[in-house]
Amino acid sequence: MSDMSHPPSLSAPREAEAVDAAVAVNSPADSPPPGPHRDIVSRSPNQLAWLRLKRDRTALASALVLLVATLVALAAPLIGRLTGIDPTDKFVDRLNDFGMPVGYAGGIGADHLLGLEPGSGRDILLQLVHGLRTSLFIAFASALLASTIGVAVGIVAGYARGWLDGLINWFIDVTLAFPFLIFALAVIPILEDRFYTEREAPPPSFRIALIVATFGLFSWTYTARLVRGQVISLREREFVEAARAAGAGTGHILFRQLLPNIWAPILVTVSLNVPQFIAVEAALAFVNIGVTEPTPDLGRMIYNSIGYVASDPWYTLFPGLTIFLLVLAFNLFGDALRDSLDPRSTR
Amino acid sequence: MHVRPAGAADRAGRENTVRGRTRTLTCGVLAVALAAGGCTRTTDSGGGGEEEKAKTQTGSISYEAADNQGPAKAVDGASRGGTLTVMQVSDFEHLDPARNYVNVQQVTGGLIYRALNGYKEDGTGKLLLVGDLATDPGKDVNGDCKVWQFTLREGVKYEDGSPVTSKDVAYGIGRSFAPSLNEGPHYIQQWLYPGGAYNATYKGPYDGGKAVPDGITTPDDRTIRFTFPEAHCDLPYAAALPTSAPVPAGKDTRDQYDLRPFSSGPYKVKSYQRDVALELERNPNWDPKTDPLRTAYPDGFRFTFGLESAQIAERLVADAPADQAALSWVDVPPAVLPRTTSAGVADRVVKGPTQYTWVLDINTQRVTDLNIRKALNYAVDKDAVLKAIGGQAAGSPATTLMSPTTAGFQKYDVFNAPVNGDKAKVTELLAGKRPKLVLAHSNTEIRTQQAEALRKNLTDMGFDIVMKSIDNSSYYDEIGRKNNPYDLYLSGWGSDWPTGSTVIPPVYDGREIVAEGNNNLSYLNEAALSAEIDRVRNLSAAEQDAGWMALDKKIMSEYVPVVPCYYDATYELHGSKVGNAFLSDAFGIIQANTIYVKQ
Amino acid sequence: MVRFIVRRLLVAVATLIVISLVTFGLFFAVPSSPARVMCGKNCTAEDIAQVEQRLGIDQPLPRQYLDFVRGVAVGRTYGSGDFSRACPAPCLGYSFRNNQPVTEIITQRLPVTVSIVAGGAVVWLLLGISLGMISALRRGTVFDRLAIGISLAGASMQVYFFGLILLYVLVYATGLLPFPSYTPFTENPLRWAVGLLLPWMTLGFLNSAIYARLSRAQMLETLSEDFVRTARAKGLSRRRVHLRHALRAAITPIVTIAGLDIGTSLGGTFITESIFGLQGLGKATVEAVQFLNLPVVMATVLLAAVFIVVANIVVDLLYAAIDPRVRLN
Repeated sequence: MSDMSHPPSLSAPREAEAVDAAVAVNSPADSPPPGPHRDIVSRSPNQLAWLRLKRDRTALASALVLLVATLVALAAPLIGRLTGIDPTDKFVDRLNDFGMPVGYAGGIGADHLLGLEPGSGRDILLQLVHGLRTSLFIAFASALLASTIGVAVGIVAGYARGWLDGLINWFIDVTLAFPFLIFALAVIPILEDRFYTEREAPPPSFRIALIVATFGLFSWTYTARLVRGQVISLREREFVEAARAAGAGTGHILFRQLLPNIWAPILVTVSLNVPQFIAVEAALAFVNIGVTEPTPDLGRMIYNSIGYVASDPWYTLFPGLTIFLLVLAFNLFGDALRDSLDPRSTR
Repeated sequence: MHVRPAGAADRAGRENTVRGRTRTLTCGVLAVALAAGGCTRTTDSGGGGEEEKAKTQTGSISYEAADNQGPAKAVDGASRGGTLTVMQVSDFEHLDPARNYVNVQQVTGGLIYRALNGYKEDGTGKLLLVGDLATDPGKDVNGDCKVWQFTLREGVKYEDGSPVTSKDVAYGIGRSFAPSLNEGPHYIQQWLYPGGAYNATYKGPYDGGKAVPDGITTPDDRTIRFTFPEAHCDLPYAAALPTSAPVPAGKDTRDQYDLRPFSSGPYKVKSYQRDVALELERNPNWDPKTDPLRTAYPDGFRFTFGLESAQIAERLVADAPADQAALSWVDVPPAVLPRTTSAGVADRVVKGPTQYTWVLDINTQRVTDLNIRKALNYAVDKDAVLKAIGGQAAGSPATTLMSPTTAGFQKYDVFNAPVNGDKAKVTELLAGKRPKLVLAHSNTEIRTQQAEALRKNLTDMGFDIVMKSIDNSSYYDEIGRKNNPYDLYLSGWGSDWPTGSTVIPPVYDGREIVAEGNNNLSYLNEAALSAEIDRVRNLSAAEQDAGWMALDKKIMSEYVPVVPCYYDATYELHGSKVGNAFLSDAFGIIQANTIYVKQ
Repeated sequence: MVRFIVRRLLVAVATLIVISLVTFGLFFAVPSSPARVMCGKNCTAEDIAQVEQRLGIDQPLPRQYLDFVRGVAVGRTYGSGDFSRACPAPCLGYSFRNNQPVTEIITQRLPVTVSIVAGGAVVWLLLGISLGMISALRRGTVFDRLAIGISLAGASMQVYFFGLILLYVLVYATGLLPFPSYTPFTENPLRWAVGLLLPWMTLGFLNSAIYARLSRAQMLETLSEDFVRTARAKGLSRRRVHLRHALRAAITPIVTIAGLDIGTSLGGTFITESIFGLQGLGKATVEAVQFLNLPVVMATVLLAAVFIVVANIVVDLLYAAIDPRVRLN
């Protein structure tokens, strides 16, 4: 995370969270000690967690921010229809001789609520809401993909023991040691050349899919390790033994018995991974392998706007503030979620 | 060849990969120019700036003793000493004189080695071609431009104190034929061996080749004579290109010479860490009395590479003590432009038009319908294309193929479309069709923005545009392939010297088309046009300028191979302790020969 | 212990071999040829073939790989005749673009990245751990909330964003700091430190968040454990208990993360380097990819992998050294 050159799982800090998150297992066989609250009514651990989450004002506030962001992203086409502006429309006539928006505060006015992009003359509000859509989609899809791979690999490794476990572990090491950025830089152009002829532009969805796939490919390791650890600690427990004794197949034990008991830490990982993906996706613009024009993208917008911090600070402010709030909200929410799921939580 | 290296290409903020020898962006030399006063003032209100008053003048060749004698005239108020820093985005491709064909490299190379001729400038817009190593810009022995003779100055020494001889000049030209050192200009080379590739028969002194090409003789150590099969009255200009710099055979390290050229000029290489820094220090054996061009005031130069253009520009705007003796040949990127108008910064801006014209090439092999090519000329929004890269600081809308800096320039506009395009005309010409065209662009941030502006503009005008991004490092390689699959692409070209003969023939003569590395990027191949080019070439020197200009207009009226987009402009900054930092009309960047550090 | 190290080293070598194979394969699949990129504009097919021969990329892929491995072990010579270039062991390749062995490029670039990471790590560890500890000891106070709030804000900030704002405020606008630059430590320690202050501050602030939160949580947990209570009951001073016992126990997970963090960063902090214009390993790698400078790509990728693998081993060893409960086997 220090440098964003690596997706979440490769950056150690996330690894750090592992230590905490791993505590959060709620297995029926291992009923947590009652929380610090003096509840008289008996409640399941999940109910307790929900209660704790609801009482957490930070969690509520961050959830609200996320909700608003998601709604705005979903409603982007609606905003376009209301204002009558397409995100790619260029209002070049409102730029001065240097290509800077005319008027106050980066061209803010009734027609353009957040002003115009210097150079291109596009409406910042429309770029922002459509960009948010792209960025959130990439982040969620990547987190989902990474978790799916991670859970599958982790369960297999944890349950398999022996050489398969060793092999998977080693494979995780290899993945962790492989530089993500180099891989992305080399692979994205190769694949685009493979699938599209020289006279076809790869559709934006193809580049987005490649980004998601690359993220997924490099970010499953943490989840895999977490799940493996959980599975190892659970597989000898009585309820698993009982199921096995009752003649349950491996599939049943894995997906019916084990998985339901480890979803909580996985959820925490996902919620903490999403903001990381948003940030790394923005960093891809630095090496020219992010989402391509003309698809609006928050990450590319930030990258393009940074240089204007002194000459048109408004242009820098809007996307910068958006990504900051978004990532902060995700981080806060992820923290709160983890705390609420942690039976020893003292908050 | 000439496309632009430092300027517009680097304007792209993060364009840090101008690698390429790719179509060598080049060079330029030349030309003349609009005097410093001809620039536009940028207003914040967004209204149009003042019309440029382009004063076109020709660079002239001077045989006056006063111009050709060293030492160079002292600059008022200049002081010796200090180290001048030049901050660049990317390292030089080549400093080897045989491979040096990009303006920033030529200016840097000019500090280390001396060609036969050179350009003398004083910042007033006066541009003279004079002898550098040679005592004058070359003698046309028989008055038919076929035999040229140069006499070297007395007392010119290399960094080790040994004398510079005409044999070293001949050897330097000889090695420029080597296939492994092929990146430089090849005018003299081609003239010596006309018909076919310049090095088809003679491949330089390596692998058993003779040291000196046919047609060059060195009767004594101070005389060199060129004998061409055909007349070449432009030789004095060609002899100002770096391939005529002396290289002693004993010091030739072949492909490694790039990293440490042997000095015959005022500075020598002190250290060179590729992609990081190049340091020059004084050559103690350089004698100012032998040099009419250079005052060599600073004790040393330090070139640093690897910064982004925005970092460079912001540092120069801030003018911190460490950066006060610094300058950059990289154009100020759009994001920093508004910060250069305040007091204390505005007077450190060096700006003005260059000899480059940027056009939207139409691949005429694919787009054969003349109406579509005309429609494109009515459709392109030149204002949007320019504003995406910095507006007036980056250039002004163009309607011609040659730039206003070319000798004999006459402005014309075949289409007379408004700067934002004329939709009615486009609709009429397209006649209900919606042509699908592939627009290729370099993948840097700024070029992508520019291409997106074009895409949107042309889409709105009724074309179906597919954007195709190409890695910046291979952009000119890709569009320079004859069978490239693209329809439209932007490219810039500047003359090597200020006459139409280094614009129209290389870029629009179909006979120049080869399989790879083309300069004729519209691949226009018209026999009638080639015949016209030959006709103008054979006009007398006095009629040629007008001839090229007429041909320029004829090409745009009859063949429409491109959409002229904008005449390029330079917009550079220097620190407050840099003195005499004027725009070189010969190279389109801040000059280095008579620059100084204020003490 | 020895057995543990030997086994880990063997696994590490296997990891590096796989990574080098993948990298090799990856760039073999790249559509544009490095030879064409090097050869330039007026290049004929023969010229390209000649360059390919010089680069050694006319050979089949497995042969190229073996040549590479042999070069690392015993050195090799590139090209032949006039264009031959010696590359002594350990030869990671020869860069014709730079005209020097890749090992030389690495030794020029690595100190920059090491300096950035080392200084940054000191800042983020000191800042993070002390913030976290004080927060833990003053749990619930305004200081606690403020410290955790700030550190969370830091963690939500992006290095490119925060770094650039620092640049504007401290360098361009006020001139309080010079633009970052690298001076070797051995040449002038003061200029070395001043030149790197900005990247250190940036990395330090952004990364300290994780350490602050982690050390706070660990401290809280340890403070509530029996042995700390026992120590207090035995009459040890509060200060002694906190520093000697609680901190020591809390530091173990921090060491893990710090080790991996530093290992990953040493492979190249590309964005930090490019924001502050520093010529480190990260920039060298990305540039090499863009120029298809395969020898440099291979070398930097492998080096980055070595750092991560070694960091893993070191972390495990440190773990055992710090925490008596951990045993290696």
